[in-house]
Amino acid sequence: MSSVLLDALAGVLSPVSILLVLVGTAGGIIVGALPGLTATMAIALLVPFTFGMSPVHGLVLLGAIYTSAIYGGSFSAILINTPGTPSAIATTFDGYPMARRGEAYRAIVTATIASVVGGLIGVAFLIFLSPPLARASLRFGPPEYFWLAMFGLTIIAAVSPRSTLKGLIGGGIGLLISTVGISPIDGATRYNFGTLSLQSGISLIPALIGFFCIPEVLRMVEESQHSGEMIPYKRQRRMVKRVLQQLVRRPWLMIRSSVIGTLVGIIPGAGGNIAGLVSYNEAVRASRDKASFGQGAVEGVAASEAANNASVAGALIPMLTLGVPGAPPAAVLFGALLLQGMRPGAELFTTYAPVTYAFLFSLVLANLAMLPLGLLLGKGVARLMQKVKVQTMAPVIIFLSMVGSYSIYNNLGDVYTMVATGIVAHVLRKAGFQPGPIVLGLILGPIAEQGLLQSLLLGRARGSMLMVFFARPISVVLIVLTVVSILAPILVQIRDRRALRQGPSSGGTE
Amino acid sequence: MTARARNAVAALAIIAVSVFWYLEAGRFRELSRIFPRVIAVILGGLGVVLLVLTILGRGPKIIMAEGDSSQRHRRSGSLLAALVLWTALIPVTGLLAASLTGVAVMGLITFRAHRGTIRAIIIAAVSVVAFYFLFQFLLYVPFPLGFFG
Repeated sequence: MSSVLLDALAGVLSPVSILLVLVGTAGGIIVGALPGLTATMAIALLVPFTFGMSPVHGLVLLGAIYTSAIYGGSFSAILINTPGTPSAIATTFDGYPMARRGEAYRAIVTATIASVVGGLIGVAFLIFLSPPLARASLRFGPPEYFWLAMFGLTIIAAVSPRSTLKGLIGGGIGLLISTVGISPIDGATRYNFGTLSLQSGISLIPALIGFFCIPEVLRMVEESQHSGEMIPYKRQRRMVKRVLQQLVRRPWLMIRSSVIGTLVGIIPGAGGNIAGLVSYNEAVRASRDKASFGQGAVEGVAASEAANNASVAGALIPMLTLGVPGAPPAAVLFGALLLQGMRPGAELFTTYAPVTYAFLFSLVLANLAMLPLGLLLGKGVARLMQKVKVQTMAPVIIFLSMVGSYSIYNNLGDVYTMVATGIVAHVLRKAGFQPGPIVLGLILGPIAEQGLLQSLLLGRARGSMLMVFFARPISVVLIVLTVVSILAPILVQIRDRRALRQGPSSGGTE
Repeated sequence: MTARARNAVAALAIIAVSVFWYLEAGRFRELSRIFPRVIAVILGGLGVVLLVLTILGRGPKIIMAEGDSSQRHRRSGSLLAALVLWTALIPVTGLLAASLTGVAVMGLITFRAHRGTIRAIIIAAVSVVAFYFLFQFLLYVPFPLGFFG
């Protein structure tokens, strides 16, 4: 084991890896800071670039971009009251009021330090939890994998913004799309409508680019960004030391926010935005000075940023160990792993252990690099936010989407797949369906189908379907979790409706 | 289109696709058709639930963007048409020529609302050419050349 860790360290501490971490971190901060450009889009566009790199270098670059783009979102949240990425929504609550009263630099420094601390705590969880979880996945048989896929889909539906029903339907659409191509059990060709390009199924990376980039570009063009007044960004001396002293006096705030971020990140579909909001809410509940939140409280910025950066590592835990991505950027990283010939699960921590650990260690480096790079690039990033109109980048993003889709297998059919999935995703978004559940359905479809069919064959051989599907301990746990994830949002909705009906008569306390 | 109408259309489309998927699965062998049929039944059922809730006026809410919706839809519709044209041109004229045409058309659609349309189109076109040559000569990607090949 120690030789594996040494190999991984050597891989990540090579000059090329360090350069990629620095480039990825700087690029991620810029992408995250520009409203309209998301971490998912950046990773999806870059995956084809990494195809020609070694697995370590490719993953190091993508990991650095993922981590730093989530942090980069805090710049626009603080300076123009518009979250650069959805993860920074809660940062606007106190970040922008701080900036308005002349404390923009203090808010940025707070966000930077909190992001670094949150990110490092999240990565620590990732490094220590992933290997035992991956080992546990060896006990999974076909029925467990089937129920795991079901749980992944129902939980993403449960945490879908606005509608559980639409989340479930989105997951179903993804599963349906996953059945196009060759059947995993008997090799029959399905739903190819007589075309050769659909015979091997829908290519994952072009579909991911289509689902995550095209609707975003169209949204960019449709809506002009309504942002608040841009607050000037001026550096102040000794601010890092002052903020650090302030945060050190509140260790629980940082630890609690980071743990919340990691745990929320593990839940498929929850992502950084929910992590930030839950953590912010907990910071308000735990504070003695609740009234200061929303008026520019340092604790509000720290809670949101520590949690959303911790959620990055959290989202990678189920992806690396079980093949269930915790967030859309992790889903794209899942595709990047497959492209490099690596399958998530126990194999990542045995056969590919040096590559996997190098990737995990690189996340530590990327988080550490955010501190100097975030503070040094801050002024330039603020100037870019003022000058660049993201709408004008739309044609270039579409060109990169085409080139990226084509260059994986030099296949024009993949460009058609990307464009078609992009148009479908745009139309579905208009009807209120988010791409996250659809993509998760697409990823989990083959796992679910293989699990279902192998379990059926197993049940037939043993003469009892019931025993195979419902009597194994891990299956029972996953079934209970699946049922809870379906019922919980429905019960919460019923409770909220009742509270709303009773609200006016009972009167509020605050 | 109102949120209610969008929900109704989406529900009907989902039911139609599910029925098609279910019937099409009848052509496959036994093991190949089980999963698509199970998913089609579940998805069709969810589509029916969405339709019933919409008819009862309790369908999920859809957040609509603010501002003039007809202008927004015209812009995204034009962009979609340009995207399809761009894609269709690739096998005919090759990726570079198709992309430069696509960038020019898209530029006119997207940049019109901003100042410096021509400058923005030129910057976009230069970026496209730079990325094209980066992939072609540094990453050795053999792009389609169309009638230039």
